[in-house]
Amino acid sequence: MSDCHLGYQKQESLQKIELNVFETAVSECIKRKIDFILIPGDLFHGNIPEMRVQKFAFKQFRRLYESRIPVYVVYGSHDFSPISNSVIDLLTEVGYLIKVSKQKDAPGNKIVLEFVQDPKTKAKIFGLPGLSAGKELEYYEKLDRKSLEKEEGFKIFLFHSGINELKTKAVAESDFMPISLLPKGFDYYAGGHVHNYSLQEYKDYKKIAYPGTIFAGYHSDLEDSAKGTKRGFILVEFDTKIRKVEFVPIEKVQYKIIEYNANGKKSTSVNLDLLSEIKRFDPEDKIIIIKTWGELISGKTTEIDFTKISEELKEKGAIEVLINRNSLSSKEYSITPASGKNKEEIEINVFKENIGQIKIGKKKLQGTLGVKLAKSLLHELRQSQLVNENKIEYQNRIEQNAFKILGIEIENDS
Amino acid sequence: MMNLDVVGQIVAGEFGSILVREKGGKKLELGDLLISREVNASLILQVFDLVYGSQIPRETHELMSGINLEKMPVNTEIFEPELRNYVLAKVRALAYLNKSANSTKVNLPKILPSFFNEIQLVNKEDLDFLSKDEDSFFVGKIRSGSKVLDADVWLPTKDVFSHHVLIPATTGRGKSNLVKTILWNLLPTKKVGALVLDAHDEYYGRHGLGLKDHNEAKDRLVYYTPSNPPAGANVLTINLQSLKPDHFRGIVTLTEPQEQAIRIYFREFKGDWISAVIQERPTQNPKEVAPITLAILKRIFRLTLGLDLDEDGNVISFNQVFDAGTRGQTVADDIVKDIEDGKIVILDTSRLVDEAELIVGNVIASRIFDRYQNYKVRGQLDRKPIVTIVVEEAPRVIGEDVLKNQNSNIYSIIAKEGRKFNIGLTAITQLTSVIPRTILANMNTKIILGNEMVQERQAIIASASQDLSKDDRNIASLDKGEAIISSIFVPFAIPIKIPLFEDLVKNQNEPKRNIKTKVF
Amino acid sequence: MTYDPIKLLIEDLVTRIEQQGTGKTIFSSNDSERFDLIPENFHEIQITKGNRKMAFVDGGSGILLKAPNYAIQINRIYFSIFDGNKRVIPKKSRTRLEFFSYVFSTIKKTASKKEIFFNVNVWAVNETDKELLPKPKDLSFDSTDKRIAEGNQRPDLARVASIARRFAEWEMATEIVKNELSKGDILVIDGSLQEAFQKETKYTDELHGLCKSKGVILCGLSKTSRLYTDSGASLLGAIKQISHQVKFDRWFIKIGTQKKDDRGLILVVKLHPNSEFVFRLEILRSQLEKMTKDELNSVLSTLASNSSDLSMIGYPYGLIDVDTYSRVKFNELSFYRDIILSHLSKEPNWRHVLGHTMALRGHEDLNLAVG
Repeated sequence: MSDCHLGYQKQESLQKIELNVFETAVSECIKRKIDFILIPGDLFHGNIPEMRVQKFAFKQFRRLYESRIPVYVVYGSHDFSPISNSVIDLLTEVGYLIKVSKQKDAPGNKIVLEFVQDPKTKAKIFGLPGLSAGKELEYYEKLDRKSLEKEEGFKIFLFHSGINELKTKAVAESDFMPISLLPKGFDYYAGGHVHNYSLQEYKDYKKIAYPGTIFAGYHSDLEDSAKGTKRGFILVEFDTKIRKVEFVPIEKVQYKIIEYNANGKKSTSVNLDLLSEIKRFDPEDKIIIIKTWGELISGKTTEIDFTKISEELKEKGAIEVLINRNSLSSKEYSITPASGKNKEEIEINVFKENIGQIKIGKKKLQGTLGVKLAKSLLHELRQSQLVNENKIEYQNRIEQNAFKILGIEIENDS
Repeated sequence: MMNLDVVGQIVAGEFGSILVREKGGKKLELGDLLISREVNASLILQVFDLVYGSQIPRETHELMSGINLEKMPVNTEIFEPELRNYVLAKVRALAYLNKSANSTKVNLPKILPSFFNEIQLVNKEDLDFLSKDEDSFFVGKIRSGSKVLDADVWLPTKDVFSHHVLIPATTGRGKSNLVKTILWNLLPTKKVGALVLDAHDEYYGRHGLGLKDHNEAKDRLVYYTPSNPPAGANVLTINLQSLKPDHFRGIVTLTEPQEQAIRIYFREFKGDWISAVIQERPTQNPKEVAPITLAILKRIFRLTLGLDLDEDGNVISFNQVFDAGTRGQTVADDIVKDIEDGKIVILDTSRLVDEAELIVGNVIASRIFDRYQNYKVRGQLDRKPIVTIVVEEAPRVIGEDVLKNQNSNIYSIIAKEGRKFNIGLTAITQLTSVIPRTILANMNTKIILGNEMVQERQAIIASASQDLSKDDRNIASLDKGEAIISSIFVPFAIPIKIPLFEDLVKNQNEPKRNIKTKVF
Repeated sequence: MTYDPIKLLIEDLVTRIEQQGTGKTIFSSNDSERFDLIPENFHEIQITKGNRKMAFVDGGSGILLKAPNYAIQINRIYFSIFDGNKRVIPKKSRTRLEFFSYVFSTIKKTASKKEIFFNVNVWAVNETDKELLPKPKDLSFDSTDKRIAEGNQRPDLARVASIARRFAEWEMATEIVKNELSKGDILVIDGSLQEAFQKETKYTDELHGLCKSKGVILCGLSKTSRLYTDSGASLLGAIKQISHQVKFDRWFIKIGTQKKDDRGLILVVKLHPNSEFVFRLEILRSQLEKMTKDELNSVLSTLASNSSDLSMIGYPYGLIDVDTYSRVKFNELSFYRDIILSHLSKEPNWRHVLGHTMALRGHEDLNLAVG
């Protein structure tokens, strides 16, 4: 399974579902007595999630540990930490997780990986982590593929990156890489980062599988789920080769999505229409998603009483109401829109649109590199304060990580 | 001026054909750049012809030769041969340089150089007006005859590529080297995005040195190839859903019924229309399309796109480029995005027939064209890089026959209108004479390589941005790697020597030694 | 039989030439010295290695404006030096001298009557050259002087103006000997060494004296000769005829002197085996008489070695060279003429001055009129 993004949800109701889904997945694995679990990244939504998430994670992995089901992981782009300051490392330290991104000490600049062998099945598992803003590309460019391709036996490759050749129109387009960067000839490629399930075969690459997120890692995941996308994990049967690949859905919640094009409408009309629409269905025990877009011909976007709409729905038993009005604008107060399917894409596009106007000498701050850096920095600066962290510690942690991203070394004044 | 640098003296002539007597032993060459220094100004001259001159009648020379050849026992010679026999160089003025304290103003010459002025070979300092601009790319070094001066030639990047480039060259004159050199120098800049239809898979460097060896290739170069992509390269797969009937216009010759048929199929089957044709699925009104028409279309798709059916009736692609399933859905968009990021995108079309190559290019070029039209409407065009589409054998798409017999295609549209939207063509051709003059006139930069065909030289000369009427011989005698740049963006037709691509690669700065990367 | 005058004419000519034979040289003076024109008197010029420099001098001129009572002429004198076939850069002297000579008529009273005299004034183009010009006091001539007159007509003023050039050539030659040549070197003048005009000896004496004292051999080479033999044949033609009996590739034959006190002894030379030309060569007699056979051969060998240029085989290249650079070309005349007329037009009496030229313009205008 992949992209669990534990700790992503802000609303308590969704937090419960998030953990519930994960717990269900773990229970399924224990019940089915699987041999091992692969988690190719983004197990957590941040490198140090809130204490409640950490406690929960420890509890679940302990269950797996006691059931003698090893869990093989790599960092993802969200739970990665440049200073190994991730909860993944804690879990690895106590033996609940096994990181498979192992690098051999070898001369030269090439990255030579060594495998972790599952003791029971003898499967050889290699992996490379995802890094924030797609920086893992550097790993693949330096990867010594030949040594991996020469390895005999049943091989699995864990990775956290999208593949250009396997993209569909529905998938977010950032930070993907060409398939040619993967080592050839593995029996199974366990991919993460792509949040929708896909299983593909390619010349020299037998099975490339993305389980997709088990619940959600972006707001758009919930929208896709509401439109029918299944969430779950992949079950693989193998001996000397893959025998069966099965997608196991986990359905823990129902959805309802309202998509409303507000282009050319007055704010008052939108209000009325939405209030009317929400009366047409039963929102009980559902996650309701209201997505509006377009340019209002009159009135402000704030005149649309989403709060009231939300309250009404919750009163009727909705688990949670999520409003997406990123693409809603008003003629009276227009800003230059940047297109994108989700917040992250919009952010990237805004950066891209504007980075060319800034004249900076440093290459790292220009073009694609600059956009990637800006994205990583924004991600880092978004990290919230932890429960047991005081303000100064929080500030220092954020600063330290931010400077690390910028490649600036700070001397301690002690 | 008794000066060792003097190579000749002006002795006669007229505007457009000045006679310079060559100083003994100086061996002026066709194409040599000379300079006549005037008061506070200079005139740059170029040799376009060389003739013998003599104070002795020709008959006397012929007699002398006869005596030598027939070994006649006549003790005779020509006294002071260097004084009485000499070479006269016919030169014309290329530019008038008005030097002031801070700068040099370059104008078209309108005066004759001073009579009897001594002439020198041009040196690097004389050409400092060809200095590098912030927004220019390197194309070669100035050439004087066969000598290469240590003076770089820079062309304004945005202007040149948005106003189209023509590279007329016959085989073996260094066209591949030139294109590779240009692309190499464009790689670091983000001001131009290029789509390169590489019909011979020669630019990336799959089997030798190529653009992949550039230090910035990782970030600025994208390579698509149908099969066995080297590490870092992408698989070229175009989903059939990306192809529309318009993409065939002007590239594949279709009759009226065939055109109608594809429009009907597209209307009915939308993105699946090509598969529908190949699978011979009936339309709602089967009488609309005759079976024979459908069969011919199916054959056309087989021949041009390499498509057919497998035993299960699924559409397959022989060349592995087109996909009827889900693959390659985003490739065209990805390529467009990369080009809009100012990257160079190379498509290995060596496995495709001409039509397929051009159709693939059409898919992407049309998309770019539409987007850039949009940007212009929204006032965002100046934030986008210039786009150039590099096409070989350009007459396939902008030749007179093609444009007369078929509808215009995206390439010809770009050639005529692309400039308004900052999209240009870089057209490579052996046959300039078959490209209509209206299109040639729009191609404001011509990098002319050697051409032994008279007709082609005439066509090039007739459409050049400068008066090259005296350069016929010059062009015919251009050696491999030698070129003349004729452009509205240069003050005169500049003779250049294009560096060897292999040397560019070798001389590139060593990339910063990376610290060993740690895997977390 | 049809009447063919040309055929008859040619037949007559050939017969007369055959009948003429060769004969002996005729000199106008009775005290001439003469050698027989026989094959035995031909001597071979053997090419030897030498280290004599040769200087060549020649002059040219062109009439700019002419009337019966005045004439303006541009004159040019040029020299070059060769060491074998290699040109030698002069140490001191300027190679070219240009000047205007201006002849005007005056009336002088002689013992019996008034007589027209022609006086020549000279102006150097380059002021620093004026020292090399002949003195005007040496350039006054009686128009009836036989040496300049043409039969019983007064002389053409161009001829008078040219006398200044001739004197200037001597001056230039003297400068060359003084500054550029040393013992054993050769100075070749285009033309005869003989003085033709009043006061010319003043200039030739200086030159001859200097040549003798420095040991520079003085020669004069003429392309043409008007000497005859006593059979009526031209001297050079007769010698060419006799030379067919001589097996030498290059040869010389002594001819003699016009008068006993003539400066130069006349020879006829053939300087190249493949040349059709034979030339009259004068060597300063006082020098020639003291030369051994080998010395004379050495001098002539030096000359012959300079005579193998293909443009005119058998004629010294040095003389071709000085002829080229001293010649006043036709298109240069109009340039100078225009300047003269331009200056003249500023004078109030310009019509009066130009009016005199009408006396000589009739021929030209008639030619223009009838084409």
